[in-house]
Amino acid sequence: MNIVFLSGKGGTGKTTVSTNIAYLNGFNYYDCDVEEPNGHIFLKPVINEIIDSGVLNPVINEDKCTLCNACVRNCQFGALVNTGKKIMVFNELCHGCGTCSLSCKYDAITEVKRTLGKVEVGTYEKAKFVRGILNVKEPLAVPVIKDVKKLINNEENNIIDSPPGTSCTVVETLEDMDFAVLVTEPTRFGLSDLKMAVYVVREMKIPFGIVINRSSKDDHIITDYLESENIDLIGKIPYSMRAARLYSEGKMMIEDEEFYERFKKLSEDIIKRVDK
Amino acid sequence: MKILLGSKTNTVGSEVDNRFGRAEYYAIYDTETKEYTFTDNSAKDGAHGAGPKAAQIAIDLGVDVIITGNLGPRALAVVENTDIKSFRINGETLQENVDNYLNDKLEPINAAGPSHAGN
Amino acid sequence: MSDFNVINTSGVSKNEFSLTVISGKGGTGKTTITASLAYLVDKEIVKADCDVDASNLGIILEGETLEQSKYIGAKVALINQAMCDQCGGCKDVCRYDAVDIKDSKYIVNNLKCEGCNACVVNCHLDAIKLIEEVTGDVIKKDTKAGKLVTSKMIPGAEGSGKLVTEVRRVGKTENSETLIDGSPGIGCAVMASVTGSNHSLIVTEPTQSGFEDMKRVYEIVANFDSIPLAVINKYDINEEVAIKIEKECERLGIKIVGKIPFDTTVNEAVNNLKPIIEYKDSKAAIAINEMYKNILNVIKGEN
Repeated sequence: MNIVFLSGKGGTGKTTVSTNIAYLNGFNYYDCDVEEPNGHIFLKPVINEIIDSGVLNPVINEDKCTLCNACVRNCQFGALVNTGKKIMVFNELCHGCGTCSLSCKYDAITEVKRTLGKVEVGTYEKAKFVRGILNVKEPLAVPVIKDVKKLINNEENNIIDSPPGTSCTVVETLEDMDFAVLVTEPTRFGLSDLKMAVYVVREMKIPFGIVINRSSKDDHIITDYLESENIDLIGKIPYSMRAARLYSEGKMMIEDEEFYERFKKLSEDIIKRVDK
Repeated sequence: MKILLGSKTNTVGSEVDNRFGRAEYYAIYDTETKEYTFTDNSAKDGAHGAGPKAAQIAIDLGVDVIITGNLGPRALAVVENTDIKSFRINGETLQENVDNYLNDKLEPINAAGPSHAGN
Repeated sequence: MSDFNVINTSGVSKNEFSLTVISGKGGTGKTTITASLAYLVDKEIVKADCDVDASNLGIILEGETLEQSKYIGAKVALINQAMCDQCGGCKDVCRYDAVDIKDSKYIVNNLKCEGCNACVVNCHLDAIKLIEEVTGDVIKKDTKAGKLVTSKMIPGAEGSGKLVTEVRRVGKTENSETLIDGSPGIGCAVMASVTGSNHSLIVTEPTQSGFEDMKRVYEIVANFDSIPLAVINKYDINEEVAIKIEKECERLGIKIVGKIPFDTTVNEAVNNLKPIIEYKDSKAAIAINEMYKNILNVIKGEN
C-alpha cells in the first residue's frame, strides 16, 4: 500500500504530516522531495547504504566516429555539438535518453553513468527509511526520484513524501500510488495551488483526500471549494505556535500529548480511506 | 570571409546584441560582397544550453569570426574546437563593430563569461 | 574595454534593479515578500512570476490582462496508428516508460513523454513523429504595481523550466529592470529563475529545514554569478536557529537585509488579497519596509 503526501504549495506541512503518520504506524518512509528532502530531520534514521543515482551519458569513440551528424541532429536537448573536427558532449544538458546511441550507425557511442545525486537507505524505529538527494547544481531531479521508487515494495505499507508543485517531478512520484493525501493551508495561495494538485491527481486517477493544516477561522476558503467540487476532507490540524516551535526544532508533533491524539485520529481516518 | 554578430533587429542599421546564445537575431556580414544577411536565433528559446546550440548555428553557417559581448563557458569550449575566432564587441551598431574588426580594434575572447541556465 | 565592465551577459548593467526572490524551502513567505516589494519598488520595474508551479503573485497584484498567449514548451511523440505494425520497438527503447499498450495499440502517455526522439529514430516504419505541446499560457497584466508577467502552467506538463525562461524573457523584453518571484527548490526551475539576475534574495525561516535548504539554494545563486542576499522570515519562532542562520550567512558572505517577525496579520492580508505592507502598523510591514531600504542600499552600492 502506497500513500503519497503532496501539497501543490510548498511549506503547507506535507513533511510534518507524512513523517508523523509514518512514525505512528511504523510505515516505511520514502522521501521523493529530492530537491529539499527534509523528512530525516524528524525521523532521525540510521543510514546503512548510499546508492549512486544518475543518468547515462554518451561517450564518443573518435576512432569510429565519422562525423555523420546523426546523433547531433536527433538529440532534442542540444547536448551534442559537431564542431567539424569532433562531436562534443555536454553532459549537464543530457537527459540520458539514448537517442544518440540509437542513431549511431558506426557503433561509436557508449553510455556511461553520470552521478546526479544519491539515495540513502536506512531504518528509523523498525521501518525502512529511504531518501533521494539531488546534487546542488544538477537540474534533473526525475532520475533520482526514479531510483528512490525502485526500492519501494508495493506489498509493504509505505508513505511517500512528494515534491511540491505539479510539474514532472510530481507526476513521476505519483506513479503507482494507491492513495494521495493533499496537505493544504487556509489561505488564498493554499487554495490556488491545491486546485493545481487536484487537477494532477484526478488526471492520474488516484483516489485522494484533503488535510487542512494550520486550520483557522479562514478554513472556509478551502472548504467552500471542497464542497463545490465534492472533494473528501479527511481532517484538520489546528494552527498553533507550539507546533511551529516543535517543527523549528526538528521534533515530531506526536511528542506533544495534544498533537499525539490528533494525529492518531487523522492517521486512522487516512488508513480507513485507503483500505476501502 | 563571414562574420557573425548578435543583432537586436534583422535590419542593416541594427545595434549589436550583447548576448551570444540568447541574441534576438544573428547578422552575417560577408567581407567579399560587403552585405549582411540575417537569421533568427533558434537557440535563444531553449531554457538550457543556448550557448552550445548557438555555437552549432555559427558552425553550420560556416562563419570565420564571431563578434559578441561574451561567450559562456560551453560556447567558448565549442568555439575553441573550431577554426572560428571570437572577438568582444566594441561599438554600438553592427557596422561599427565590423569596421573595428577590420581595423584590428577588437579584443579576442579568451575567457568565458558566466553561465546561464534553465530547463 | 572599460565600457563593458559593468555589463553581464544578460545585457543588464550591475547597478540596475534585477532581483530574484527565492527560498529553497517552500512556504517561507517568498511570495508574500515579493508582493510587498512589488508595491515598494518603482512602478516601471517589471514584475515576473517565475514560480510557475504555484503562480500566486497575480493573486495579490490583481489587475487587467493585456495579453495572453499559448507557450509551446515541449514536444511529445505521436504514433500514427494507421502506419503502426505493433512491433513494440518504441516501447523497448523508451527510457521513460511513456509507451503504454491499450487494446493492443501502442499509445504515448504525454505526461511521461520527454520528447527525446528515441522512439522516432527507432521506428522502422517512420510511424512516429514529435509534435509540439503547449505547456502553459504566458500572461501580461497591468496591475496596481505596474506590469506583471505571469503564467498558467498546465499541471503535470513537461519542461516547467522552459516556461520559467519564457516568463523571464518576456519580462526582460518589457524592461531590463525586473523583480522576479522565483521557484522553490534547487532544480531546473530555480536555476532558470536566478539566471541573469544581478541579485538574489533568499527568504528563509528559522527551522532546521529552512536552514538546510538555504545552504543548498545559496550554491545555485553563487554558481550563477548573482549576488546573494537573505531575509529571515518569522525569525522569532526560534531565535536560536535564527542566530545559527545569521552565523552561516556571515560565513558564506550572504548579506542579511532583514529579519521579519512572525505576524498573524500576514495571512489576513493574503486572504484579503492585499500586500502586507498595506497594514502599515503591522510588525511585518515595518520590517519589510526596513528590508527594502537595505536592499536598495546594496544595489546602489554596486555602482
